[in-house]
Amino acid sequence: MSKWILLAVGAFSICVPFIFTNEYYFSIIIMACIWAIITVSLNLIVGYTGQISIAHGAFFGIGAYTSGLLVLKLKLSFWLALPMSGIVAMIFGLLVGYPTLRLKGAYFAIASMCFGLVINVIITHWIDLTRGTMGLPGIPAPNPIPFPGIGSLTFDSMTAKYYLILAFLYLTIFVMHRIVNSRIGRSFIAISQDEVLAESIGVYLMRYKVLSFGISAFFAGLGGSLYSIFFGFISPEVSSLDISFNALVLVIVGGAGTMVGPILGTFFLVVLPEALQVLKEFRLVIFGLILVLTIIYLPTGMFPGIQSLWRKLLGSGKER
Amino acid sequence: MTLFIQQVVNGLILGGSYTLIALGLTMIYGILYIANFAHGPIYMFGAFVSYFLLTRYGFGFFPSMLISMVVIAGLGVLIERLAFRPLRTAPHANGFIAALGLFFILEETAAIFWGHNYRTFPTVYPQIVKFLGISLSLQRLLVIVVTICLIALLYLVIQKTTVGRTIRAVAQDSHAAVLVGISVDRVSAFTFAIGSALAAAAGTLLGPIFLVYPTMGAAPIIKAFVVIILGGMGSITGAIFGGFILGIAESLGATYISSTFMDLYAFAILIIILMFKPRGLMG
Amino acid sequence: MGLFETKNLTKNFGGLSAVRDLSFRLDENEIVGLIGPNGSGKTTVFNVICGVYQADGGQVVFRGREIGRKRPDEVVSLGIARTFQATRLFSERTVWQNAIHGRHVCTSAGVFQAVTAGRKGQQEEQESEKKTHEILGLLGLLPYRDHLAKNIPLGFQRRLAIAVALATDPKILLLDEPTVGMNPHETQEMMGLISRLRDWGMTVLLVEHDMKVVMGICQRVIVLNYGKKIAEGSPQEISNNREVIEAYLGKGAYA
Repeated sequence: MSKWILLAVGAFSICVPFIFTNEYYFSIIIMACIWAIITVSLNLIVGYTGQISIAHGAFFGIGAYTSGLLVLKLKLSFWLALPMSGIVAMIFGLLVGYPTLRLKGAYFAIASMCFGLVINVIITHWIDLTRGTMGLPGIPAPNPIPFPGIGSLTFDSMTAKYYLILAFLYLTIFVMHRIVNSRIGRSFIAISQDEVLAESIGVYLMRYKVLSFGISAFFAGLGGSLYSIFFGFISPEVSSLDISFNALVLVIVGGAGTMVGPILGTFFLVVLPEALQVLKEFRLVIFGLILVLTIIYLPTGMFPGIQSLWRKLLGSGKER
Repeated sequence: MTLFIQQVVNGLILGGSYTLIALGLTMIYGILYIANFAHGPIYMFGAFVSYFLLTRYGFGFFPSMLISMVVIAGLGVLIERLAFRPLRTAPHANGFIAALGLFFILEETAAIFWGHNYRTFPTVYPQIVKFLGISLSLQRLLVIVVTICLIALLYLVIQKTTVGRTIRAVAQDSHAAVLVGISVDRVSAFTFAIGSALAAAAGTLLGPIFLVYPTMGAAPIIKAFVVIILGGMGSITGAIFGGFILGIAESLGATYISSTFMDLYAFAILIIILMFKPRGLMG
Repeated sequence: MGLFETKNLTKNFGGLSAVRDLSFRLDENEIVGLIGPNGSGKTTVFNVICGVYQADGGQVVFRGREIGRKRPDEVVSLGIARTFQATRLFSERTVWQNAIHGRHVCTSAGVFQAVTAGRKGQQEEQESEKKTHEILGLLGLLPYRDHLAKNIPLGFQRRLAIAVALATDPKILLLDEPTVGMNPHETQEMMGLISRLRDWGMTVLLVEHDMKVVMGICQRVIVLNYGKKIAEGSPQEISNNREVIEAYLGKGAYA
């Protein structure tokens, strides 16, 4: 049954450019896909490893600026800059994770927030490198990929960029899915459930926490790079706390610790406000309210909530 | 040399207010295990209430501060009742997430009502005081004096009153406290009231020195957390020492290194110290 | 050189000596009981051996290696597993998932194997699944395979905790009061299970308060009081030991 749903979603996603011909709505969907890369990767450290991170915006920003600077200043091909963005973000993740993941719970969250702020301030004030608040305009579309004999695949159109971003979203989901269902994923989950017990079955807490943090940073970095070629312009805003908070809300409200949850949360909470247009000013208040209400009354999130509703309706008696 | 002493004194002032904020925070954490990130906007509301009392309704400085403390104590109790009490039995991380949500709700609500612009708090005590070769506005000196008074008052309440005893009991063992008839609900509400009142005092004291605006609570609350992490979660002594030390470090850093990055010193210190002492300075 | 021994092990908490100058050994294939009145330091000994606490003095030697400074996860990978006094399980995970969690130290597949689903990773997974199935079968847990750990009866939760510890393929198993709160029938079953562990080649160090269990399945018993070893010997010997009786029942009880 779920296989059919997946296929339907997949087919739908391929048809999107033909359904959403309005450029504005199309760009919202594309942004949602980028947000989905952010949330699916954040879910690894938050949902599966149980550590609340408010640093994700920083990794996204690091990825965006690494990519933008490599392409603009060093004239590197985007196809080289893209993996570099992921790697640089991951290195930051590993370096920062090492001292900060010794802290538990809210205190790690604060430390991660501090890191996020540091990155944001550095990007804003290191004018020689980043042009500060003026940002980096004119980031070119990815170089065309030549197919000898047939022609080349260009990425100037919005449709091409959409498929590129979609492909990486699927890649992110695929990698996350593989990791989560493996021995490594089990270690993460053990840590999130009971650290003492996890240690007593041989899981070295620091190694796996830092690993999880690093992997999630890698994909956030990729997301940043993709964002940079989609908009063609980046400013220090891409590393702001706003993004980190937003991503956290999407993950938690969608359903942390499930594969579908964050994706659901993302499309729901990104597409809906844009479609409604009203209440734009109140977005943070509303998001804050949704987060508080969710964590009190439906702490596992929307997707598990829907799942249990579904099970109740079907009257299934089997445990998970 | 006088520059150095001047900056150390400035640092003490800064540190004093960090301590006031951190005290409320560490009390709430030590007793209820809630990392109350919403404490920042509470500090901000304290400043705004005093600001309006002072500028629009002509109250004096100290009356404004007292009224603000009472009002904000009420706000703290309300938040505790609505958001944190339901989460008492949930994992601690959930409390923090709720606090995070509240942070944004409160900040943005203030921005919607009062706009994003920076307001100047009237300086009620502009007289300059000179001693030991340094000069200080009376306003700034007041911050230290009031801070010390409030800390002493807090100490007296916690150690010498019945209410203080019940708070200490819950801090030690909330289950045992219930068994001897202590109402954890009341203690929880009271702790939030005291903590919020202290934050309101800090907001009022610092308002004239910095500016008043909706997001003014963000940097101080993060620094207050840094203070607590370094000084030991739940430790009042740690909060006091940590607050003053951080204030001095920031002041000296701003003077001798760079003032643009002043906010970053706290974070840099945090990361560096954590690398060598993973459990904080006191751990 | 035996399998395991402690030499003059000492652990203090503040001014208090929880364990003092404790020396004992464990040999292959035996069930040793660790008993003593409440507060005599039994769980502390476990915690020091397992790396939860660092010893303040003395040594812990396993298979010729000093392991006193190791982390808990390192101790497990060396071959010493434990259960907890208050049964600890991954309560939101199924019985099967809990048990397979225990296979962690016996496998080494990393991120790349996970993503590429390489042959080595696949083989390891199959091996883990086989072992898990075997262990759950041996402990009678297969009927509860897909049930959440928090939903199975208490007695089976205890068995699951042992199953998880077994999954780590240990040489020594430290069981902390496995029969506490059990009725006589359940206690009998647990005794049978622990005896079988010895048959499967394991060494068991057992903290227990139930003397029937200790008398019934231990080859040797070590008695602690106030952190010091006051007696060691066969169950028969220590049950007639004056100091032991006085430790439990007070001075003058030996008559």
